[in-house]
Amino acid sequence: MVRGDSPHYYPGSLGNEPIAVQFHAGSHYTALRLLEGYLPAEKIKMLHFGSPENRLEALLTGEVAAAMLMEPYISLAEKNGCRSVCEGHYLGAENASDNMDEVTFTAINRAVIKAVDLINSDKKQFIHYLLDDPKFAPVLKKWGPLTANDFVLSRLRYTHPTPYTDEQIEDTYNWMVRWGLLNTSVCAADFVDNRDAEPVAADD
Amino acid sequence: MKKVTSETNGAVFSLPWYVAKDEGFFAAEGIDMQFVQAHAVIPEHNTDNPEEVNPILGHVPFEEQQVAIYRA
Repeated sequence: MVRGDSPHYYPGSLGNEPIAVQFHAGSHYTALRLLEGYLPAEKIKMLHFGSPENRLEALLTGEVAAAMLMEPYISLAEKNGCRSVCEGHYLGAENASDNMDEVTFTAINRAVIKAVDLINSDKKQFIHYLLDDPKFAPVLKKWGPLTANDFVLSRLRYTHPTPYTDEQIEDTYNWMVRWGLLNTSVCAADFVDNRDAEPVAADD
Repeated sequence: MKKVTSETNGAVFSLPWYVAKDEGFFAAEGIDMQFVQAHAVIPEHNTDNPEEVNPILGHVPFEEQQVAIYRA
């Protein structure tokens, strides 16, 4: 996202401009994946601002040229005149500790699947969870107001929990190694274990 | 009811889990789901070097085994 008065309208002009992300998180990796199609690596200048409230603040106060955000910070930024220069989506899932048994994890996923289907049946009905998030409250107080009508609902994408495929893991591993974000002495199979994450149906 | 504690990290990511709890979907599965919020990440300085940032970020509750599940 960039401010409304920004000269940037597409990612290719953001070379050597400071971009707020949270290193080692979705905002970092997604921004790299989006920008590497437009800019050489040496011109991508990312700065670690941590949590999204910090990144939005840095954007709106002019400390950075752009910030990588997720909802509800995108909608709040747009409400403050900002615009998107590129958008990306990434896959996320819950990961369980070693002592989580398969029966419990499968039951949890059945419940989550029902919730995903309910959310997708009427996304607007559930926007209040985003607006009522205690972490968002001080940001909303400073930069709001924001209502459910301000959201682009197609940005909110929820799917049934599914384990990462071997191909996704391998591709991501190679991409992270290429960007120097992962030690090559670690192999993909060392840090991803799908043994308790087989797909389940809501009525299993 | 089996008690399970999960880390949450921003409502947009944890929405299905909040809805599953409030709609009674976890309870219907015999699970008493509890949530612990991931820590906010507030850097002391805005580095441009990823190696200066601990990749654990705010997932401290999982690292400290307060929760059994976290999102990544």
